[in-house]
Amino acid sequence: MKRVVLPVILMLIVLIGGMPNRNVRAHTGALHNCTEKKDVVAWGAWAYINWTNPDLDTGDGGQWVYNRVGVAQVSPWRFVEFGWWKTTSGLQGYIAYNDGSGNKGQSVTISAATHRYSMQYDPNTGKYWFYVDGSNVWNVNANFTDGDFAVGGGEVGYGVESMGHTKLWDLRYSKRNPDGTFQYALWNGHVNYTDDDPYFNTNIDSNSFYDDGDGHN
Amino acid sequence: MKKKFLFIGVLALCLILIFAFVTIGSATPTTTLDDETLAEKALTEAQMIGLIGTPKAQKTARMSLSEWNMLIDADLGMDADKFGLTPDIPVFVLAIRGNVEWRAPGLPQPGQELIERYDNITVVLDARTGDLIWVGAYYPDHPMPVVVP
Repeated sequence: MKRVVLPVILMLIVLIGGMPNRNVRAHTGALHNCTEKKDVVAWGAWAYINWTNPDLDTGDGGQWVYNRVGVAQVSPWRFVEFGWWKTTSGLQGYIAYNDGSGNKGQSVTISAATHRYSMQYDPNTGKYWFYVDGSNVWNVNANFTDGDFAVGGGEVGYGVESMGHTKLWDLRYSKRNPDGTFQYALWNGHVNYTDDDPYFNTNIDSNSFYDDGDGHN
Repeated sequence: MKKKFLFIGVLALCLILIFAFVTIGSATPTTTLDDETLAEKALTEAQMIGLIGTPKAQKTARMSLSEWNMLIDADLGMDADKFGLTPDIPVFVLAIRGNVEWRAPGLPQPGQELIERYDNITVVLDARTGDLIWVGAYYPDHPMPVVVP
C-alpha cells in the first residue's frame, strides 16, 4: 500500500508546485513600473519577495516581469536593484544597475521560491555587495556610496504582462551608525515613486505592498 | 521469498538508473558551444533587450568569468559557487554597435518619460550553455569593455 501511496503523493506535490498561478494580466505598449520608495539616506536595502510566476502571455508579445528592491541616488543618477526576473526563457535573479556609464544587468541563478534580496555598500571594496537569503553572490562598483532613497516594486516589458500580485515585505534600508557599522532598519512608510497606468501598488502596511496591474482596463 | 528478492533487486536497479540519469543530467558541461551558435544566441538576447535591426559592427571574445568581471569592475561574491558562478567559467562576449532602445529592467530616473537610447550593446553568455550572464549598454563618452569601433 505504502509503495503506491508514496509515489502518488510525490506526483501530486510536483503537479501542484508546477501549476502556474492565475494572475491578472496587463496590457502595455512600453516599459512600465509600479514602485514605492522611502526617502532616506540608504547604504543598502532588502526585501522578501515571493515568486508568483506571472503570466507573460507571450501570444500577445509579453516578454518579461521584474520584481525587485533597490537603492538610488538622484544626482548624478545611479541605482542598484535586485530581484527576480521572469522572461520567456524562464526565471532568473537579476541585478540591474547604472554606475553612471549606462544601464547594465547581471543574471543569477535562483530557485522558484520566496527569497530575501538585499544589497549593501561595502566601504572596504567600494562596491555594492548583493545577497540572496544572506548569501553573497556578486559585487560591483556602482560608482556611488549611499543613495537618496530605497525603492521597491515591479517593472514589465513591452508586451502584455502581469505584475503577478507579487508581495514585497519586511522592507528595510541600510543605515550607517556613528561607529561606521551598518544596520538594516524598517522603512516604516513609503510613497509612490512610479505608477505607470495600468500598474499600481496595493499597500498592505508601512513595510509591505503588492505589485499589481490589470491590463484589461 | 523469491518474489521479495526479485522486488528488492528491481527496486535497486531502478534506483541505480535514476541516480545515473540525475548525475549525467546535472553534470557541468566541460565543452563550450561553437562561436556561431553563441553569436546567434547573444544576438537574440541583444534584440530582446533592445537592439533594433542588425548590428552595424560587432566583435566577439572569449575569456573566463573572472577576466570579464575585471573588465567591468565587479567580482564574484563569497558564496557565488552556491549559485553556479565560479571564476573559471568560460564566457562568450558579443559586443555590438547599432541602434539600441533599452528594454531590459532598469529603474527610471525621476520624471523620465522616454526610453534610453544607445549606440551599442554588449551581451555576455556562459559559453558552455549559452545562458545569459551579463548585458549592458554604454553612454557615448564611456568605452565599451570590448571595444567595437
